[in-house]
Amino acid sequence: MSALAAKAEILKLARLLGVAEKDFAFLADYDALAIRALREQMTAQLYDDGKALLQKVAAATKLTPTGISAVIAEKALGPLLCARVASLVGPEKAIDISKKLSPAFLAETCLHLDPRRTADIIRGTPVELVVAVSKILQAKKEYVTMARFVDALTPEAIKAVINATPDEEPLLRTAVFAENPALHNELVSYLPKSRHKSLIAKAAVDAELWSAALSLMSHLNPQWMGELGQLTAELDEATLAKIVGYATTQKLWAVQLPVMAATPPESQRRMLATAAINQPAVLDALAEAGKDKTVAAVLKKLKPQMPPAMQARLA
Amino acid sequence: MAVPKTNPLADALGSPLPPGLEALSKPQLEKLAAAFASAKQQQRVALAASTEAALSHVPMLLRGAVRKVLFG
Repeated sequence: MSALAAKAEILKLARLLGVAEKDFAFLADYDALAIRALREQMTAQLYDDGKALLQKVAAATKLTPTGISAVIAEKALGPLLCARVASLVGPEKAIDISKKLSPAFLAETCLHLDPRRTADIIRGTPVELVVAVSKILQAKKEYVTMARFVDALTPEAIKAVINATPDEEPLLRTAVFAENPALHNELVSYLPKSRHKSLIAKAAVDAELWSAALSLMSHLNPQWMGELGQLTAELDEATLAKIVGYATTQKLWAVQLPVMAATPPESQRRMLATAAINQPAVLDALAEAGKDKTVAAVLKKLKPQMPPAMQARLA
Repeated sequence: MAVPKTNPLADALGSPLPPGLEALSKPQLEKLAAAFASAKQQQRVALAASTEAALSHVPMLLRGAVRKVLFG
């Protein structure tokens, strides 16, 4: 999980500095929070650098009619400088200008915008414009960028984006990068029940997506974790075998087991009885994961539902 | 790995690095510092060029006032 978070932070840092993600691959082993702190330090400096001129641009923007400001924004300033100036213009004017900009230009600007400095603008942007921009960002697979805005958008805007997104994959890939995991419960609650099932089914087809789904589930409250865990338990045997494979090869048992433990006993029994989880290599992986005290406590909770051979191996 | 005595990234930022990055090697710190310096420079160049370009889109009637705000 931390590897995924570090990957997202590396991408954000690379985006901020205008370099390729691979240039900072050496940061992959570092804590995501440390990389984020470095990015925030650099962001503050880049925003402060040239602030005097940026403030003058903002003051000049206030003098010019909104339509002209929008033309200047797209034809002269470009997305990077618009992102820098946005917070200095004032939310009302900035929102008025944004309504006259093309969604494609706004999507480019979003790549450079610091949502925490422009929260008023983001919250005041018409929902239909947010949806139009989100569609462009999704088409470009800019999930990390989309995730940065989750914290700043209104629930209405988030729900509108969800409703305009028929595929669960972009939602999953965005949610996993949300900077405030406390929002995960809300995000899941915005999805209708039928989409919870398709979310789990979609995630189960791919190791990376399953890892994202587990990351999302690991931040949920017990009720939501139990509900999504239950939907996992209802998957067919072949799909459950795939999930067991992902958890083993990607060392995800520390996250997978608490989700399993959050389900009712009969669901736990079903998952623990699958042939895949009772393979010697998987039992070894479970035993290895159980060396961690927290994981050991979860295994203890699951023990009454384990087949005897598994109980003996993990004793 | 020990923290290098001279830290090119901390120098570029003008402040100590956040905790948790102590193990970065000198070449890695230099790479980050160079990328940061380059981003700063690019932003300056873009800002200077675009403010001048922006004026050409301002109606003649307003151009004097906007120029005064931008360039004094």
